[in-house]
Amino acid sequence: MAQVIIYTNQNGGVSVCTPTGELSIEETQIKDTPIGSIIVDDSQLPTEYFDAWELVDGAVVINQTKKAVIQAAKETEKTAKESALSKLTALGLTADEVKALLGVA
Amino acid sequence: MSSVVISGDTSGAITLSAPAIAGTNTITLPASTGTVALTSGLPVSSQLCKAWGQCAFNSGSALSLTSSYNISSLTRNSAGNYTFAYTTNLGSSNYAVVGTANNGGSVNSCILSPTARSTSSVTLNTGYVSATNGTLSQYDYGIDFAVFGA
Repeated sequence: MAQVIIYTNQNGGVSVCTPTGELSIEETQIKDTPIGSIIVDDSQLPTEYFDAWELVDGAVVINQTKKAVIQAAKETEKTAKESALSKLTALGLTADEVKALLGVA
Repeated sequence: MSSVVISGDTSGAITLSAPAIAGTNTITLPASTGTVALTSGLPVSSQLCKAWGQCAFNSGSALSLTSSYNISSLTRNSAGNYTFAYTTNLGSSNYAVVGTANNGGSVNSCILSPTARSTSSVTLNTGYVSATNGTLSQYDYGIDFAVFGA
């Protein structure tokens, strides 16, 4: 497991700083992160809903309200793409052509 | 050690100047016999790449640097928003950032845009144009970038 430096950023979320090894993690913490940042093992961090993370008492937790907003946005995007996909497919485009137009992998 | 010969063909002077910093500097010549020519056409500092990095696409998850130069750290601020800090700062914040974003190979509309640059770091956004409202939706695409400046 790798060590990373975490801190609350100006948007209220959590920034995760990963050193490259050109400097020690302590040097990186001083140079690249604000005062108050902490060094943690990355195994202690959640693995999903990054934009809903909050740093509370030295631990990262998922804000459920932010998580719900993210889920709703994903669902809206998915619905819009499915709708566009349906309309473009009806025009005779192949599935690959439609995906390329929509920017869908 | 045989001998060191410094000679000039015409008038003028040959000057070896020490940099204005403490330390020892060494010029090492190749082991084979031959001539090493230094020309006035050598690129100056502002013409050289000051930093670069490559982050492979990770299925939309957090990026990590695969390889880099003069980058001390990579900070993920939000999905698709990363700050790359320089190990050695640049002399000015007026520099160019070139790069691409990718999703690992398949056709997509990946966008990369620098949102903030300072002498100590550059922040890059990656994402795609939303199908719902036409705005940039941030997403963790792979990033290749290079920095040129003074």
